[in-house]
Amino acid sequence: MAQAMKPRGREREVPKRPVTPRRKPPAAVSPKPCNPFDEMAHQLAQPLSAIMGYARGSQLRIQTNQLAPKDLDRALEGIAREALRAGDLLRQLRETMKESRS
Amino acid sequence: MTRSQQTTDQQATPMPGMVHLVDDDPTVLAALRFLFEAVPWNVTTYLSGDDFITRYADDGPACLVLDLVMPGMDGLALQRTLVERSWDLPVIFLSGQAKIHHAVEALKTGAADFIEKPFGDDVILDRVQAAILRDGTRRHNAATREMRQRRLAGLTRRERDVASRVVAGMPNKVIAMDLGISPRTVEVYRAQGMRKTGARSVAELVRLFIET
Repeated sequence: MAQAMKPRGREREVPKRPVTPRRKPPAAVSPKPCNPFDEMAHQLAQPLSAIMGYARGSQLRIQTNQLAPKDLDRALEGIAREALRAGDLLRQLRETMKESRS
Repeated sequence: MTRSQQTTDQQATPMPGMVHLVDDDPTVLAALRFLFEAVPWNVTTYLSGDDFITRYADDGPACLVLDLVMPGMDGLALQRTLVERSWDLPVIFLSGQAKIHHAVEALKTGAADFIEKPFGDDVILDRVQAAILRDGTRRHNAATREMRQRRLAGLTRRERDVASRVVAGMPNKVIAMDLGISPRTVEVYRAQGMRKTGARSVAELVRLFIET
């Protein structure tokens, strides 16, 4: 029985690998916009959220008979202003898309 | 149940609460203030994370509604600061460009919720209400726990020895043998323990020990 016994456990030979540096731990995720379209989407979400706030806020006041004329005026003014802002952003988006196509 | 029915129910029993709003966009702040004040909740607005850190005052059940993307201290950085300072406040993130890794990061650090802008009209009200309720429950539980701890802290070592054995279900005679004192003395310590803790029954004493 000249068969050599295979090394076991720790004695087993492990093929040597080149030592590679440990990976750096992932940095904290930065919530900065990644590209112009992400940035545009973020900007467009702002006036849309504001419009929703004014509309739903008015509706809640109507349901409880608490909508004073000055509140309605404030809400309508806000909605109109934010709709214009969203429109401007859409125009910018169209321009950006045109430029990226040409 | 429709949203309008829910809203009527909410307003029949108005829930006190405070909403702290942080967003670098003043028009969004103004619109969300308009919305939240209609519920009605008390609202304080902040234009940055630093502004919030400087002016925040704890004033009962509340919720922090926080924009994720802001110049300077962004939403995640502010949330980490809250954790470091042990400011226990439910945080709801708003983001105009929801990325799954941002949501995961926020939720891992303890955010209550993550809402993508523009949000549906019911979503934000429902989530804020749930967060304020949770904060109210947490505060109530913390206050109850503190009150119980105070009541138990008023016991002398001997009274505590006897009370803990009563809670374990030992009869007076066994407690007396265990502590090497007379059954009469056990009765005295037991009565003093009940009086000091305000427990009107052994069941109340058990609850006091278990839930503290």
